[in-house]
Amino acid sequence: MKLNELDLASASDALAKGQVSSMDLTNALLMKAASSRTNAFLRIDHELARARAREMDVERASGLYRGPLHGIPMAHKDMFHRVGVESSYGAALRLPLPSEDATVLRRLDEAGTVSIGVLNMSAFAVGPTGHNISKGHCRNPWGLDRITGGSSSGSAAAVAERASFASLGSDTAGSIRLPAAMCGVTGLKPTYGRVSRRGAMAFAFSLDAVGPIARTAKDCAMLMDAIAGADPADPTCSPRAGSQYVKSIADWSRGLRVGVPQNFFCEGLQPGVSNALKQSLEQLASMGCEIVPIQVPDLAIEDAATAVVIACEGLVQHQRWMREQPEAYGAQLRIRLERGAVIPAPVYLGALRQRARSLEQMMDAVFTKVDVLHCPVTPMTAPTLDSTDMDRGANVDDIVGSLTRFTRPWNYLGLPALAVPIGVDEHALPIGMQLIGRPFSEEVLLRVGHAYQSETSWHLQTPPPA
Amino acid sequence: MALDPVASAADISKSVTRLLDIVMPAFDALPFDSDPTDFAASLDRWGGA
Repeated sequence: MKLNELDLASASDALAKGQVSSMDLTNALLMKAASSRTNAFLRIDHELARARAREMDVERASGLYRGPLHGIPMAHKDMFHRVGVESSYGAALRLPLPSEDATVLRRLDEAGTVSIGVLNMSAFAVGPTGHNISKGHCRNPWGLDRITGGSSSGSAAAVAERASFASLGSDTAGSIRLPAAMCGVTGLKPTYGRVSRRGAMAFAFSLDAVGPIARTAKDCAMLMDAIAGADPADPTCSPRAGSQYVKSIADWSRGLRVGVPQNFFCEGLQPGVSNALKQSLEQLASMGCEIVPIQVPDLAIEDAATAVVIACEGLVQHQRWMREQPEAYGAQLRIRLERGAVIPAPVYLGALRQRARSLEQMMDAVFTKVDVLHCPVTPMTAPTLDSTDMDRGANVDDIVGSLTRFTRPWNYLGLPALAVPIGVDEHALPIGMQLIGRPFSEEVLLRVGHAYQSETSWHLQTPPPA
Repeated sequence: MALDPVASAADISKSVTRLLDIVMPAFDALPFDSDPTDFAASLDRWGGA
């Protein structure tokens, strides 16, 4: 096996045993990134990465050990600030250079990771497909004519094609889970406030979450160990301490109750998606989970309220830039943001006032009866780039609505959600399941994901060679 | 805004009206004292200790 094909945990083990160096791993990823077929990378930092890898190797040799991420190379969505370095936000926008590092990057620096570059994304993290008219569309390694899903398109594509051991993404309506599912990797949207957003580009600040995309649930847990927890610099970040995610995922216990929606989330699924979900439930049952059919509250209000919040808060973020640099905005972006200008303030405030009530209803109806809810990430596998190009006439409401209808309610409700690969369709395109849990129960989701991946091999499948 | 909208005013109005038709009955029924800033506290309560 080539070094870039290791998962994060295996790469960490190999480093710990002295079988490889950070420089070996970094060179392997740099080589893979340079030959990427997916347009996942917006910038590759060859010399900076090698210098950092050398530094991490020297530290380790001298007895300084930062932890399991010490010397691990990776790249992230290009929306996390680094002092003095341009963050493009996936757009052709001219911005002042950042004066501070994003908290999540600083924490990964302290954990010893090596940055090898920055990754493509939907412009401004707006868009569930991965199209990008200024940076070039990101392509799915499982089918280069297919979308990756968005907006963390480069993160999922780079991890799937083995050019990054893990990657940070962001998720406002599904932007971690959609590309993770469509690219056959694992992605976690943490609870609202679980991970600091200081120094990360905002889209809709009431919904945004920063989280990991990686090959496995265990790899996601390794990143969460480093990035989760209180941040005094981010007043929206929960004061709760982070959990010990890697330690807790090994604690599998039979009898976990897994809820299976009998409404909404089972509607309009492609047959391949439906079959894969059924098989994943059979697998969970064979592992000792109790499968509980459950009626989920109607989510029409939450779905519409999410659209209200996104339009209003998105416009707050963008109105100045749209006025001063209109050339940075494509049709899809503008159509979605323009609505924010005509939504009355009381409606926006109503959408925020409704959230606690909607959460209470969901908790009462679902999470007092089950530990985890099981549903699809999307009703379909990755469609083609051509059929979903919203800057070339594809209907924005149809595309956004169909791709995100199973993901965005969880942003509105603030709940953690994990996407896990569970199969492929007749075109060999990946399918994901979505596991949702109670607030701040990321370790439970990761535990289920890890146990599932200990018994199955979907997460080991590699995209077809060029 | 300095930009002319991409969508027509009629299209924007139609899509926003559709959203309002869905959400307003629920919003009108919210308790008078419901607070738009209490969501984080609500998450914390449901998340246990």
